[in-house]
Amino acid sequence: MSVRWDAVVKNKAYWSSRRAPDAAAAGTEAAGPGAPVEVQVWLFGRLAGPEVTNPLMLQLAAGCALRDVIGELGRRFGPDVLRTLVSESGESFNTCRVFVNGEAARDMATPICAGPAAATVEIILFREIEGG
Amino acid sequence: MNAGAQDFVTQRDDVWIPSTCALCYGTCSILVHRVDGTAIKIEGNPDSAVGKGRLCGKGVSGLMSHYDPNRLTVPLRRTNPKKGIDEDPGWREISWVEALDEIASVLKRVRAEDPRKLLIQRTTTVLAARTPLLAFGAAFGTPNMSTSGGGLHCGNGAHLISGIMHSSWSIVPDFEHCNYSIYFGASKGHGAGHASASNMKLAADARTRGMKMVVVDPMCNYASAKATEWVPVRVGTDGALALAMCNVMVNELGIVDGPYLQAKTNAPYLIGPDKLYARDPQTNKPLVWDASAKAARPFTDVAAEHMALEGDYEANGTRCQPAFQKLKDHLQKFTPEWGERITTVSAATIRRLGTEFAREARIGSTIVVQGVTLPYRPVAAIAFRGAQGHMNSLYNFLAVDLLNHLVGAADVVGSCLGFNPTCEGHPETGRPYHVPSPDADGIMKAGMWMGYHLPYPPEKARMPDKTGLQDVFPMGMCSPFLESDDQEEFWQKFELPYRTEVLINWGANLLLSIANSEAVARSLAKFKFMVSFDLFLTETSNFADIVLPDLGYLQQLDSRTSFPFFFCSMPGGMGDWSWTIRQPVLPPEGQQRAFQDVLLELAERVGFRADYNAAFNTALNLKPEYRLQGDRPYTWEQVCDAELKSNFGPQRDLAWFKKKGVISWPKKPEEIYWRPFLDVRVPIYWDFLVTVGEQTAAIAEPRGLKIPREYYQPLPDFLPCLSHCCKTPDFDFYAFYYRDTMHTNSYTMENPWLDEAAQLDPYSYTIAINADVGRSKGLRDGAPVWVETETGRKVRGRLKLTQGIHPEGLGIAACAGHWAEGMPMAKDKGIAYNELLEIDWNHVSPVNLNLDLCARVKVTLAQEGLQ
Repeated sequence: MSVRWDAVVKNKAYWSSRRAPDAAAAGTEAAGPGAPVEVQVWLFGRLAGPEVTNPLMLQLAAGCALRDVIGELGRRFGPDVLRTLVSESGESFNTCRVFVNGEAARDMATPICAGPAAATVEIILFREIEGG
Repeated sequence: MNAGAQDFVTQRDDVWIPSTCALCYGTCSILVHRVDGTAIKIEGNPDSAVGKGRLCGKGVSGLMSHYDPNRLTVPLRRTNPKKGIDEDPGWREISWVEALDEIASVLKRVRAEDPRKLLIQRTTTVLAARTPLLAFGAAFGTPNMSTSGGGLHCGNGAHLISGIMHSSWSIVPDFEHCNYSIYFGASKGHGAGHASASNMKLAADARTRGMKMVVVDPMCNYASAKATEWVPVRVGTDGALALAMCNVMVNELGIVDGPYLQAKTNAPYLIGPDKLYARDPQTNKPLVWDASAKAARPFTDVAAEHMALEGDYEANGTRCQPAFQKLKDHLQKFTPEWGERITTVSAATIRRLGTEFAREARIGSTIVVQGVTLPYRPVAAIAFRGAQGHMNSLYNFLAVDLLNHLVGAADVVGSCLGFNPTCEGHPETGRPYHVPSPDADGIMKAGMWMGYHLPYPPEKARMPDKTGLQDVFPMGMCSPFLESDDQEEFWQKFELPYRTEVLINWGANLLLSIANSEAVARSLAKFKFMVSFDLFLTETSNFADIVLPDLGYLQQLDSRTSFPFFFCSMPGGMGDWSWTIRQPVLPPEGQQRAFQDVLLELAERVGFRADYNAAFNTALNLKPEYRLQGDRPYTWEQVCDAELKSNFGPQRDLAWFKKKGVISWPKKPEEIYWRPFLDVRVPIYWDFLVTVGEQTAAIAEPRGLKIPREYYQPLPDFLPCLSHCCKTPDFDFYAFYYRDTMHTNSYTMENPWLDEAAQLDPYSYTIAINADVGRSKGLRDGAPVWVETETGRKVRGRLKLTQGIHPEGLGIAACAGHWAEGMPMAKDKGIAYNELLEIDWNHVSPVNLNLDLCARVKVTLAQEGLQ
């Protein structure tokens, strides 16, 4: 019997119902509604040049996301730094790894939520080569 | 005898210790039998899926590598400032303090000036070494890391395309269910690396079960000898054969898996006259032709079954065609008769192979695996180094993989599998977890990767930050420009604002493994300072300023020897996941130290310990509670302990793993046969390659470098190597090398057991040509000959005449020909094939920078008296 390839599987949403355990989630406790968010940014490796003193303290509007943090870094350090972090579309980071409150962030929409303490964002360039 | 062994145990012992082999990157799980401090036997560990209790000849010979009296045991400092192949380094023994003082001083200066001046090279043989070196580079701040000849020879095509099409480092038949496999220059299940021992068992069982195995290869050796059918092919023309087979399937037989192409590829995407997707003006999404509504609509708005695959349509006011129609038209020129002229495989054979592949695919069929109903496509087309190691690297590999996608034989039961693109993690922790995802165009992004960037989408070409110039050539992974003859010309052309000054080498032997040693030696001699962690004084370590004695794999600790799972250790198909570790079975000898602890100490001395901790947090993806803190000092044992607890819970720490060696849990059908469960598509039409080509050209052409656009087209073609264009009289052989199953890269040549076996093998240390052709030229078996390229590069060896090689082929086993005194067992054994290879822009793929590994040669008799 010939069956349409895309009609075989019953649970097509198998993977979408699973969440990566390392995906960054919202902070433990959001600050009060409308309150600005304190963000502590740690830059490592190549990003932590002589002009950088870790941590950088940013104050961003409530409801901010990772793209706001990256955007602010771009404003402070220039477009060259921004280009090392994000793709041309500005929506993904293929060559760096970003952690928000200790959890790996997957994309620029990752929310930045601070609890009683400032939210932490850690960024390091990871550009690797493999073979074999 | 290891003098230090008696110190390692304080009482009589007789134990089997679980650990991991490192004689190739298959990283099979092993049990080492230690008696009174001496390792006396190594066997496979049946508790692990990695190797499944089996071990190859290399693995059991590891004892001889460990107990080799030529192992380095003290740090050495060069006294002769001149560096060259024939220069005596004048080694002087120094203390670790002296060595690390000098190295730290140099690194501190370079990091302050420009961290990009550091290049880190490593061998691919030991997978687990990647993490500490990668993290060190990221923390230091250099983008310059490489893997010697590994990627240049086998990675830039095979891994890139496996990543884009299968979200995996490589591809393999689903041995348990596959009925018809066709290998193009690949040896999965019959050679080193790539889930070596596991695949050997799986492949043998599959053949016993009746899987037909066709091997397309210039030489009938490891895979071909076990095959149902060997198809001798002209060197470097595998892609032409695959394209002709595709044409037979699409245009002569009309057999394709339409529903697969509609639902899981970009085959229905409309292509405009600019060769790019036609896009919806509002959403920018690629358009498809909705056959039901008779209108062009965004792909997300149309049921797959209504997406047109063929025809001419109008969208956005221009004429468009579905990508599949473009492919179908494109394939028409690759007739079997054309294929015969290019490949020497008869048109009738090409038709038969295309027909067998299409019919054996059983399009439309299903099968139940562990209670889950799944598509069943029991055919697989596999390619690797042989097919892709050419100028036409990218198209060759893509053409082979198209065979799979045309019949829906991709990551479903019986088909061509990426191994292993998805993992849901251990049932108790959900770690490790990786799964592909779609981009805005619906095209698959790999769930995990190890390259310069994700294989798809490609980065935008830009002026270089890396000495390898992968910024300019974003489809390139490893780069020839780290060693090429024209590196300085290219660095100037592309205005590279710095030059590398310091090289940290971990176990790579670049002089043997890349291309002709003259070019590589020139590139090595340019470094102002070189440090080499090594087991022996290799040809490459003889260029170092300081050599550090490293631990061997029976002395090392590593917490992730089988990970990443999508690399080449974990076998494909159902069975178990196994996370394995490597642990010290034997103590350091003399002043040997673990390179991981040396790197931790260097980071502290140079002043970037906090960065290194952060890099480990990233590279190991540690959970918040196990992350390394601030600039706190850690030992390598502590780092490994943190990773294991992070992934498997606090009760499964390093001590637990040292006892068990491995943790295993069952794979699920949804993980292994993942493609039906994920809403991702793969590109049978590479519109993005056109864009990449234009971006690269926009940078390169104003600087005087013409970018040949024929390499940047969205559909694969056959583009000849330079060797195919050679018309010089007497240069009538196509030289190629193959991976000797006896050896791994150049390292195992020093192992006396393997050397003895290789000497018994008629081919390991000889030059193979076709017997009839040889006799017609008056050449006899065993005759000493010179093999010479058009540019005058020569190697010398003894002939082996055989019927098992294409009449135009000349085969040499890689990668022999050592000359270093520090590897006396390997010295003067076999032939250094790579000496025949040029390394410059004219000898690499202009799109993915893969080195062209074939050469047109002539063979002449040499004087007797050869060793």
